Amino acid sequence: MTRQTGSTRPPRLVLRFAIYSALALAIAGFGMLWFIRHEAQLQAEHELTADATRAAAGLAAELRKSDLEEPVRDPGRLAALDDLFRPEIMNNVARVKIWRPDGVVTYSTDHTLIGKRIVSDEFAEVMAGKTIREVGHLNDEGGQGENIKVISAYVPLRLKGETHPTGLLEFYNDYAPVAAQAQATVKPIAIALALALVLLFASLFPILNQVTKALEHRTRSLQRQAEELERTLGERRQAVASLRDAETRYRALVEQLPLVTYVSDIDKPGFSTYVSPQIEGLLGYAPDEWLATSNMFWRVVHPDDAERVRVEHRNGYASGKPFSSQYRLIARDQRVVWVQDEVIVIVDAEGTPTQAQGFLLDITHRKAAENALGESEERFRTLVGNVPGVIFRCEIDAEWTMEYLSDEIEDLVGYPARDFIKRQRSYAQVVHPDDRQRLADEVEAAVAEDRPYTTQYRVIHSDGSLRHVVERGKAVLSGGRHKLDGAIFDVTEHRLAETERLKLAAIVESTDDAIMAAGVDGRLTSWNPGAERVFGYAADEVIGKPISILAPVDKQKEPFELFNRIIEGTPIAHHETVRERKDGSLINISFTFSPIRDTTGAVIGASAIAYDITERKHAEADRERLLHELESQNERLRELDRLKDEFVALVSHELRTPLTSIRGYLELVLDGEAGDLNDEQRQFLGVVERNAHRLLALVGDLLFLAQMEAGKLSLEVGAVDLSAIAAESVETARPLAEEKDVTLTLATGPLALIAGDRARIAQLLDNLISNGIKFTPSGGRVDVRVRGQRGNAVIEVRDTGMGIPAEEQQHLFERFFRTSRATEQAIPGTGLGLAISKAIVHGHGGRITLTSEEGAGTTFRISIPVRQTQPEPVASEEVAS
Amino acid sequence: MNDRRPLVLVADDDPDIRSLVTLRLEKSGYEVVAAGDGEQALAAALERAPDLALLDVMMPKLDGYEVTERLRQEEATRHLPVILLTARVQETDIARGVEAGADDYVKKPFSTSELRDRVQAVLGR
Repeated sequence: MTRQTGSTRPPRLVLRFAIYSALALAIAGFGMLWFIRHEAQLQAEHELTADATRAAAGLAAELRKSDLEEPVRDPGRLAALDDLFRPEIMNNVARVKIWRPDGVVTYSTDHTLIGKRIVSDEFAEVMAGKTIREVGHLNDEGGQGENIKVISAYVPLRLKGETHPTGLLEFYNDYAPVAAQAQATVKPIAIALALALVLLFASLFPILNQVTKALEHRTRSLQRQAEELERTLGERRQAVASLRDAETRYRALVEQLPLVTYVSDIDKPGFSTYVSPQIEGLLGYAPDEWLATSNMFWRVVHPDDAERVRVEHRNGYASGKPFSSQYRLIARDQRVVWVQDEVIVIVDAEGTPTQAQGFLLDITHRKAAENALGESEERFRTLVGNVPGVIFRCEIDAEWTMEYLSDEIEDLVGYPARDFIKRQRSYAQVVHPDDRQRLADEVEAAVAEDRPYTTQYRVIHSDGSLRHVVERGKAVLSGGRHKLDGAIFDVTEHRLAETERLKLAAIVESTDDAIMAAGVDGRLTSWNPGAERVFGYAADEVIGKPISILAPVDKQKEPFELFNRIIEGTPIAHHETVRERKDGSLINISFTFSPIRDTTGAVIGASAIAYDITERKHAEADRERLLHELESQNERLRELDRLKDEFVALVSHELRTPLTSIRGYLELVLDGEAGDLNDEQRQFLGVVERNAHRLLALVGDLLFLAQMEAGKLSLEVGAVDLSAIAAESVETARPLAEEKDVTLTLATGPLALIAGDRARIAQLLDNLISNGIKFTPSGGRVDVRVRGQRGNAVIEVRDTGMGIPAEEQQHLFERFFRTSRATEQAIPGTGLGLAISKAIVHGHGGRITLTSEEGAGTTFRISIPVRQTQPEPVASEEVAS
Repeated sequence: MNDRRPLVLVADDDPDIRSLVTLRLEKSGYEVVAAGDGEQALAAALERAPDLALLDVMMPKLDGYEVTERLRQEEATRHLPVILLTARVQETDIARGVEAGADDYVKKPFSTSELRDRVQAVLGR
């Protein structure tokens, strides 16, 4: 309770509980105390009685009859009895008395009560053999001493030899020790109980308090709810009553309305739950009949609308929102009824649609009117659409705000009419900025004078192009305001055509060609300055004259024959004929005629372009002659060429045969086959042999060139080690170099085998190296380098010779070309070496180039692609054969 | 091989060449039968059954190709090794020789020692 704050009283229930519990515990405690004390007393009485009984049995022999019959006065006897009843013997009993059955005390251990008579009702019972116990106060007897609590036990006394008791023996004892012992036993129990009580409360109270408060709160809210419920129920009852009232009223109303109301189960669309009686008026089916027939709705929906309705309703239900749908129903009498179905979807607490409610409006008439209006609008649109221009009605304001604008505007400016009508776009904005003010001024002036206007201006198409338009319009009074009605026509093409026509006219006027035209009657209608120049007539001299005026006397009919063909529609190009100039001279003319057609395609005349080809004719004749001459020259040249080829072949064969003999016999002689030779003979024969070799080499070169020019160069392709060939060539040339005191070196880099003709490549290297030595003065050097470079085999032959003048370099690889230096210094050579070298390099798909500086030297550089592939099979056969 | 020296048919219309080749081959240990034109060569080949024929291509009456073709048609000389001597070294000429059935060719001008080596090579000596 201490935990309670002052503001909240401890709940009454708790107090009550506490008080009751305390009372109950107190009673229980006291009850227990009493019980314990009572038990203690009983025990004490019992023990005392047992002592007394034992004593009585023991005394039967000790006591005398007189002791029981008369009060003992004799001091001797008193002393004997006192001794007999000594407390030590009598188990510390406080007092022992002997009674006579009439209630007279015959002996008492304290002697004071001897002779006194104390009447007690219980004596008779004791005398009859019963033991009684009693609790009383000392002062009950005699009234002396303290008023202390005592306990007594009475037992009958029987003397020895007697069958009946003749006296009573009383044991009388203090009760205080017994009470104290009981007290001592009870006290801790009581304290423990009290403590338990306090603890119990201390621990239970907060819980109890809490529970109680919750209970009280709950009770209060239950009470409030009950009140609320009661009130709501009251209202509900009232509402139901009024609803019922209203439903009756509304149902009456609904069934009077000029529309069909309905309720449908969501799973069974089509007024499956309720449909108002108006359905009969609408479709000829009674509501009962409608509801009784399953799937009635889908039977009467117009087949063309059924699918759409299905979809619309399904989507509508799914959305849970009200929706509207228009469709046709077919009445019993086959009338088609247009209805507007306004549907409200009823959803349950989870949002699942459960019902559809709604009403059907008969909109048949409206639909008919709409159709009629649509047709009327469509007619208007078609009419307007047929106008080759844009029809408009607009405000007379800065933006030309459009009230109506026909769709053709989109073709003109690239924006739809609705943009202008809805004011998303201003018509003034599409007018060319330079024309806006003028347009406004002209319209203003016309409006002021109330007259129609026609004006031209430019508009800008959305694609950026300019369009020229003509606008005609007039102000009209509409709704009390002036508006502008009018039409806009695109004249861009007219203008373009006009511009084009002017351009063409300018061309016709300025061209040197004669251009003329004639009408269907064959009389000239046009004549340009070119025609005047070609034919000599001025325009006014020939316009209106028949076309035959230009024909020579003997060809008067020809122009008309041609003219008729053209008039029939056949163009004639490059017709060459003869005409007569004004001065009577004849000229060659090439005519190109075309029919002139009007817009319907009908021929209304003919045009002609005439070229004076007199000079060309002469030139042609000259060319013909020259061609002929060239032809015969070519023939001769070809013959010569053939002869040359034959000659070369013959020479090479006929020269080789004797050379074979010369070489063969020389060999025999030099080998000593014809006897020993002296040195001089040997030396001379050596000269012969060297010259035979030169001759042979020359024949070989000539033959090679002949083959090359005939395109018959053949290579015996095999795998070639360029470095090895270079080494051989260098060694072959070394004696010559030493003879001329020219240093000859070879440097080779890593290089793959190349596919090539070994002999030809050797020939190539020999040529270049011997050339280098020939053209390098004594003390100079020739360096040969062979290496691989980016998939090519590169050979460089560098000399420190006289160099080649730039102007001669380009001829260097021509046959029989010799440099001026070579000729001047009489360096031997045929002028074939480099031509052959070049042919060999090209034959291998390579390139040969040179760099040269006069007086410093020349470097030839050859690059041949390294082909990884094996030589081709054809080439292999050649090698084998 | 027996003691008989190998017999070589040498056919060339140029007597100098004919003598030169004959001389060189005889000095190298061959027996030679010479012919001055194609017909003689053919006859000699059939009559003498040489071990090898050296035929000049350009000969009167029958050229080297024709002689080779004829030799190939005859049973006795079908396998006779033929070396053509030619101054014409164009592809077509070589192809023609192979087509006719020649085993080898030697270009004019030739060195007599080279010729001797070829002969030895063909005869397997």
